[in-house]
Amino acid sequence: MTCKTLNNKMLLYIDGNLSSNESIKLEEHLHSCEKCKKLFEQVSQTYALINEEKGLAEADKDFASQIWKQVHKNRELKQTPSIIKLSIITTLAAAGIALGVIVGGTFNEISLQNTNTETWEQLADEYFPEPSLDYITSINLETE
Amino acid sequence: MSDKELVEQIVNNDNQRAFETLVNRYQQKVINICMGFTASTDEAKDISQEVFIEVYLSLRKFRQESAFSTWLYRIAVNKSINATRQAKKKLLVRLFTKDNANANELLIPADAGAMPDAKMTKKEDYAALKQAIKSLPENQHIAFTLNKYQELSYKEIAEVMDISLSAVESLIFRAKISLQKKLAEHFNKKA
Repeated sequence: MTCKTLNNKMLLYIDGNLSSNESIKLEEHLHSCEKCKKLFEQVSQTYALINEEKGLAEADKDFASQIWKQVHKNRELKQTPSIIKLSIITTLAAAGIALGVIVGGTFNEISLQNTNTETWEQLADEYFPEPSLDYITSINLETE
Repeated sequence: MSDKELVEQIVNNDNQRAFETLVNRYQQKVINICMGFTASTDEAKDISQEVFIEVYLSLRKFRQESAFSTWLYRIAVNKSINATRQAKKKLLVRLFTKDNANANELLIPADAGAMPDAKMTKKEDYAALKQAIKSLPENQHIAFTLNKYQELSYKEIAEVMDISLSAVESLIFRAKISLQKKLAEHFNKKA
């Protein structure tokens, strides 16, 4: 086994991923090459830090109850605004409808009045057209 | 009580005790997964808290087609990856906004000093290891973390990642070779 091959296979050896034949070749090389032996020690020590690292982060004893509280607090917070929102929306909608009815009613009255007057005037014009000046003068002449 | 029964208790009765039992059963495993992606224990704990909140909120959508643990580990991986991406963005911003003298400090994991026998193992070696793991392609990073930090079997990793067994083997094999090269480079530089 060459130094280059060993350099690629150290972690696989440490984790027991090599065949027994390959492991024996690697061990033989380590015995014969000081440089690789030193590197192997450094790499294996550093790689072992993963196991130490795992022990570093231990969950708190009340981890589970903290999460439960947090989830239910978030739920309450989410629910409260929705209730407030709903009441605000309902009030605003009612106010809007009331305002709409009042304003709409006022405009409707004005427009009704206008349209009524206009319609009657139009009808009057159609059925009783204003006499032309010629017709008036001709009447005057006849009476004279 | 089995995971399935606990899940049913939570979904049907919003049972606090069942939820806490489930969290206690898996909290350390989830923290270990998160540790594989983060630079500090505090960060890992924060992410794992998010994981269990997500679990509670999504439990009604869980169809029990896979094992609860598989589903949970998927959430843990996704949350960790998202957190890593956000951290990378923040780091880039800080690297560009702060003077370069502080740049190396930002790359050293926050827990380097807290490692046992910190003097012997050296902060730099630990930082080099974490940096090497971080720089792995995403799929290799996930497979390696589930294997080394969570000690899941290749079969379990295949289920969590939804890939074939041979793909898992290949990812972990390549991850280890890549890590090996980076660690060798690190020690050769020091020599």
